Amino acid sequence: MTISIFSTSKLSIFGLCVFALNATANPTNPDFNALWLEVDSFRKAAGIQGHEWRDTAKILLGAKEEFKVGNSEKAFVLLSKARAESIASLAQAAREKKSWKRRVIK
Amino acid sequence: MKKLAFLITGLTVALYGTILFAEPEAEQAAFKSYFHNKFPDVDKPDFINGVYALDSNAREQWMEIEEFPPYEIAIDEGEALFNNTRFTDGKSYGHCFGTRQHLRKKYPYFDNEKAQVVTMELAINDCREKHGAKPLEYKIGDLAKISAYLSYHSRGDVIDVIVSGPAAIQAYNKGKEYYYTKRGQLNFACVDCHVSSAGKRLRTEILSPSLGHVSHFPVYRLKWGSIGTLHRRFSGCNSQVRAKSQPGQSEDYRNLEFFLSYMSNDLEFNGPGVRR
Repeated sequence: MTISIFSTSKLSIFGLCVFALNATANPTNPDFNALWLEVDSFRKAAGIQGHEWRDTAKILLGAKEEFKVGNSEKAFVLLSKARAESIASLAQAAREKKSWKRRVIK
Repeated sequence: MKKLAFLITGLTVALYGTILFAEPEAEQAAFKSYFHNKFPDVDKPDFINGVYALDSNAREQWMEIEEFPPYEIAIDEGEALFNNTRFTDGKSYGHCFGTRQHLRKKYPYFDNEKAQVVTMELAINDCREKHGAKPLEYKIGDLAKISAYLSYHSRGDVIDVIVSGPAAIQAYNKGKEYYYTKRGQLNFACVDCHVSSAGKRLRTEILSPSLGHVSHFPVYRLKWGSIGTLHRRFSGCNSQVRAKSQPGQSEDYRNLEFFLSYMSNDLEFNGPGVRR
């Protein structure tokens, strides 16, 4: 009866949170590597459009180093930072496709 | 009916062509007029002096530095490199460029055969590679010194970049897009600092106007402690707004140089320069 208060979507979100917490608490190589590769692909996509930010690659490398020496908590913090940067740079690239035109001196 | 359709098509193509070709000219006029109106007290030819045209205190300090300019050594070294270098096939830079005089004003130009913008620094390395030598680093060192020497012998020549033909206009437009596009974590475009904020202070420095920006490169920057090319400065600007910088002579930087040089047409070359 108590479980009925959770809708399917709420359960899915709950499940994802548990997964994320587990990954941070006891991350495995495949978890970290898969996330790292995903973030790196965002960075590369921004780079192709000329919008990669200065430090994203360095932060990603730092995350890899930290994970290698067993500092998984710090590694995930850095990975999360790189993810935020790469997503924001992709958003910037999408936004600037048109908005640069408004700045042209006429 | 066929004749009418032909006439309409012809007129459309002609009109489109006129608009396409007229745009850079109109944009150049608007660009110049923006700075002339923003800084009415600055003599038009003085824009080649950048921030020193705007601020009398900075100008005084700069003129004192110019009494014994730190770029002189680079000019001398550039002269030796230009005149004494012999490539493995026995040729020299002279075989590519002829005289040292008035070279700067030939660049940048759009090479229709190569379908790209050619800058003076690119031409120097093209010459080297053509005669079997390794290309030099584009932003610093020997290439910047040769560039300083050649720029010195083009002082007083007038910037006269021609943007003509669809491919050249495309390169101009790419340079323009790069100039006006925000980049990096700080979300800045070139225009943010060097147009709307030109003349304002950023910490202890006054931001220079874009008009005349290309005239005085390469420059000896006190911050660098050495001479560097225009593309080194582009790269530094990218990095300052926390955007990933590009290698010297990347297509983006060459197109940007093409656009900026066209914007500064009719101003004099006065490189090499010295900047803080």
